[in-house]
Amino acid sequence: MMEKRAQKESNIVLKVDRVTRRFGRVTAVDDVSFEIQPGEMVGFLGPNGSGKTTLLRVISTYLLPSSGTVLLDGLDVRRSPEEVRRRIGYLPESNILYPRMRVWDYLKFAGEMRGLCGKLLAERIDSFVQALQLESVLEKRNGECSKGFRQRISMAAVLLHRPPVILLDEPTIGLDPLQLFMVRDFLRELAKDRIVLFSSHIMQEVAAMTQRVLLIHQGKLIRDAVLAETGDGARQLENMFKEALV
Amino acid sequence: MATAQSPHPPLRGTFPQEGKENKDFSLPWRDRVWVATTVFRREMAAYFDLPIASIFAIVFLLVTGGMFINDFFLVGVAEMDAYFAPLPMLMILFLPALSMRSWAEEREINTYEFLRTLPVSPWNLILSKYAASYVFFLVTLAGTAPIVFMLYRLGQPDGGKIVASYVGTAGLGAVYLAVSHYLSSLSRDQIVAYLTSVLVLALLYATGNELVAGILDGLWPTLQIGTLLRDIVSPVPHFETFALGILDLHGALFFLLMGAVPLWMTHGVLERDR
Repeated sequence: MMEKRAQKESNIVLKVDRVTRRFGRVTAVDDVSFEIQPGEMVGFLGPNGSGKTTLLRVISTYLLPSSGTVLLDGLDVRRSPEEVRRRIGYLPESNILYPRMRVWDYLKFAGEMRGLCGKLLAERIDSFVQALQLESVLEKRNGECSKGFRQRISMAAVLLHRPPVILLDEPTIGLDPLQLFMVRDFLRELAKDRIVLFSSHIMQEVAAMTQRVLLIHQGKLIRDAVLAETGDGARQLENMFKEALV
Repeated sequence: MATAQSPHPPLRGTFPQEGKENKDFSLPWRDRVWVATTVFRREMAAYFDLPIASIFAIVFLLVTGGMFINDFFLVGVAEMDAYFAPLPMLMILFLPALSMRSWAEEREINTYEFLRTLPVSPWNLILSKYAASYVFFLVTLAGTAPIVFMLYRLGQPDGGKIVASYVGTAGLGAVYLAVSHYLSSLSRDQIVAYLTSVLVLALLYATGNELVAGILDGLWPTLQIGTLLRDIVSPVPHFETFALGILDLHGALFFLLMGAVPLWMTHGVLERDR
């Protein structure tokens, strides 16, 4: 499994302060604020089109906020995008794989883009290949792999540099039940000393992976909730959603 | 060094120091160079992996070489004038085929978001992609070396003129590719990127034509717009100066500037996307 290093990064805090993002007249994210401490795994839950992806894109520096600030380790995503990107591993919902590249070459490329090389990079690739069970596809082209493999290859590619902040947009889409359990364990392990923020529109998925949940609807953060350790998490989320929307 | 589980050869490289954790999040210049070469190598590998690029190189060499040989045997002079004369027009068809994928493909297959969230500046990406396509073009151009060799075997060509013509071709290619890269950044469809590039380059080519300049001047005599476009915008007259055997500094600066402007505009497109 993942090596438990990155102690240095463990004091990195993610602070989202009154962030709004508009596309023309449409407000995709509306005055959202929250803070995440190291060691926290937080789930973004909301229906399709609620603004989860846009918010993750703003945090990842892919999009700029129309107003408000996102601070990561004290760095503003607007002013220091490259510095912020060095600290994050962002898995978008869309494909990130070059279909004609072989899996191993792609992982090498992804690692080199983060400044890794030599023995260190080879070891990292090997550890992720084992953790995510990618051995059987290393020689294949990305485009020849099944959706489950492609998702895990993508995950390895964005985490090779062991970032202290991990952003995952619908990370479990396309995974079969066994792969799903494996990825959940993998992410829980990662979250021990890092910030993991993931999005999903499936209540059971969020409840299975984390206790802190940010409910988002029509671009607004309607609830920052912690699920009770006992009881049906999905049912709790369902009730919270209903209460918040009434 | 790869571990026992990996069948792959050990990776080589010196940055960062092997075996050490990359705790430093700053961006030293050598880090930028390392990333730039990584993008460059990936782009080059993609060119050699894609059939379209190889087809481009072969067809380009066959068409230009075939046209030259035909003229060469008709005229019977050991010079390359007949080779370089149609190049500005032929390159309009061939160079966009190289650059059409640069940005349009990233958008088409959705890797654009991945690329833009890597710790790399837009300039780093733009220049690395541009450099890869330019080097591929120069490698293709180097495929004409047998023609030069043949001329020297058969006669005594003007070496200076040939060198200047190659420099002019390299400069013209730099401009054409930069324009095509910019147009690729505006599209998420490679075919659209190709067609718009051909159209814009054709217009650019036409502005260098005396006849077109004359017609435009005739339409607005007070503005002399045709002459203005030919002198300021079109790279073709500068290429023709090089093709005469003159290593023109003014022309070289023009190619440099006309290549830089579209790349700067590409940077604008990438930033606008945010």
